[in-house]
Amino acid sequence: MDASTLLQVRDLKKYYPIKQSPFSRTKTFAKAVDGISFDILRGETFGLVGESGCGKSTAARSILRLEKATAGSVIFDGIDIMKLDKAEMRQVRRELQVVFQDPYSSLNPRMAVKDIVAEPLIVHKEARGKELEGKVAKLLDVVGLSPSSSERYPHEFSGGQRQRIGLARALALQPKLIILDEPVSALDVSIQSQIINLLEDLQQQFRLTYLFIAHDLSVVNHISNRVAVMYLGKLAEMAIGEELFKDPQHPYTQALLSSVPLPDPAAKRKKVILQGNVPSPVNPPWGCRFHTRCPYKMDICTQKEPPLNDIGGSHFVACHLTGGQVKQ
Amino acid sequence: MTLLEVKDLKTHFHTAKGIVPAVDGVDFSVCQGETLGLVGESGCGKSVTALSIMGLIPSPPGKITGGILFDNLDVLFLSEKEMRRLRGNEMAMIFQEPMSALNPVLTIGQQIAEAIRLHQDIKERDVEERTIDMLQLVGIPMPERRLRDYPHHLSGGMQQRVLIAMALSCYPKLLFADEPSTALDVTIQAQILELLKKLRTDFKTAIVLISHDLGVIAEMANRVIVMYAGKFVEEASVNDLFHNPLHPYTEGLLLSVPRLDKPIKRLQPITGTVPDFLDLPTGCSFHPRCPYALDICRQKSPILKSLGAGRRVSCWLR
Ligand SMILES: Nc1ncnc2c1ncn2[C@@H]1O[C@H](COP(=O)(O)OP(=O)(O)OP(=O)(O)O)[C@@H](O)[C@H]1O
Ligand SMILES: [Mg+2]
Repeated sequence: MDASTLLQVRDLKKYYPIKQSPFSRTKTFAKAVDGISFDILRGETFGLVGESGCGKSTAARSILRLEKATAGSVIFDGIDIMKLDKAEMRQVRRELQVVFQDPYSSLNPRMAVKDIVAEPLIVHKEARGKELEGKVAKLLDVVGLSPSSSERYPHEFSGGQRQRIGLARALALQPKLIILDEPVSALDVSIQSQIINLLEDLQQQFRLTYLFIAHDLSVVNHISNRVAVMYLGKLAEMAIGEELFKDPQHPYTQALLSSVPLPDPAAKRKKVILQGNVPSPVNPPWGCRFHTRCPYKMDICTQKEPPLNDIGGSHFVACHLTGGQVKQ
Repeated sequence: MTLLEVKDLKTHFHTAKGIVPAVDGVDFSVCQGETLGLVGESGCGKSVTALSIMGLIPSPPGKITGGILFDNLDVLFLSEKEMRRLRGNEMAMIFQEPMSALNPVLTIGQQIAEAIRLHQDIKERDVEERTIDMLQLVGIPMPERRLRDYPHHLSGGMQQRVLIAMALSCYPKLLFADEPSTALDVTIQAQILELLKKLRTDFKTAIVLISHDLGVIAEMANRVIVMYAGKFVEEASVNDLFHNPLHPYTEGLLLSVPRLDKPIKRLQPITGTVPDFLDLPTGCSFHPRCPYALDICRQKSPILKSLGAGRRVSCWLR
């Protein structure tokens, strides 16, 4: 593995068994994540976008080992974390932190803010007494919370401030990678921009790497260096952010981008309005998973699953239309 | 032609902790067939404005004053029975969470049929056919089969279509759409917005579209009102609002969103947070977050001044 790679995900799968009649002989599964591979480079923000239910969060939880992956490997900073036992994993988790969409449900309501932020430091025996107090005060300051907030409880804070508390806690053990799962989705626009700027500042200051998961394409485009688009458990396209948003190759990416309403009444665009809904991951369509909604469907699309092809310029597309051809 | 006229509408909630002035003296009108956008951050009073006009604010704790004239009817003086008739026939509302507005134990066919029976003068044997027509109209595939589905069998986008079908079953003159696509994925949102556009062309329905998404407002609205802490701070045609915002709050909102069409290196957030209704700042409610605040802004509340050409703004700088 290249030294510049911090996280390498290969053919990650997570299948959930579906409850069935006791007489049925074959087992069926919801294939929430069905073989995805990507690398995250040190210091970058890697964006993962897709609509609800496409498997983004399941992928994150599997990488974090909050769920047991069905197959695949996850190499973090040179260590294959799928093979670690509990104690070893606990050590790795210091460097691999996560912040979720709803900070409220992930913060213990009975703990004061200072104790929430101190907890990881105490559990990992990083600091105690005066030193611990000093570290907590510094962390609160870094995320823009006033010293007076340390004695208060999560319910006394707004959504944006709770997200700051979650970030202070995630930063406590000086992680290398933070997985941010819809970190700003629940926030009002003015607060959302405050948190996005804070995330950018923290990344600079602490040389952090982010896996940024969101459904809002404008936000992902703004914050990410490289972006992968997920559809029904698979990656449809992956490229450098600017390239992906300027020159999307996969019909799904094109439709997704054209669907975003722009805050400009003069904007003239042709929308690609997709018909129907995302199919169920229990019986995903044969061949290309997107063919049931694709405006360019060909015969081959219903028969053969397109691989994620390298089309040059760090741009990858899983589509028979661009099948393996290098872009001119 | 003016369909709805609202004068000095105040909706105050009398709570144990004090009075919440959720809507605090707003004036506006809606013309036949137009789409009026109502934007603002969470808790600023958008939904309460719509619910007040629909007669859906519980009292107590709510107390409504002012005047609401709809189609020459003085809405605040109607009896509950007259109000119910108006709500069914002339105005309708769709909500952000479609599931919470549908009855989970009735099939969608039963629910739409009920709405049709209530609002249309129609023979019982024609109800099912009309129900199917309505489902077809809102783009639900194979409507004959869908009739017997329960709400939880449907995706969020399909549930929202069912609600739109119910709201339209009375061919309302005015439709309040409260964040109709916020809970949906972008590709499904695009379908719902397209459907609303088609319906307003076909039925000339006026729409009050409530959204915090500036993109949705830019795409759908003819005219826009920006709301902050229970008051209107700016009103303008959609072009003026997006290309030449006059209120610092409107300007702040436009600068704080990342955009696909004009990527920028760094966002410019509005500092601070939305004030608490029980502890509103003195003077202009926006002054603690305003980069241009003057002394007078801290002392006196500005009025919503008319600048001509349908433009109004409430700011001491203007
Ligand atoms: N029944 C009630 N009793 C007391 N306060 C209420 C009641 N209903 C609404 N409010 C208050 O009125 C204010 C305005 O609420 P409203 O729902 O109109 O906001 P909104 O602009 O629609 O926000 P959002 O974007 O989150 O939907 C809020 O502070 C809310 O807490
Ligand atoms: Mg609301």
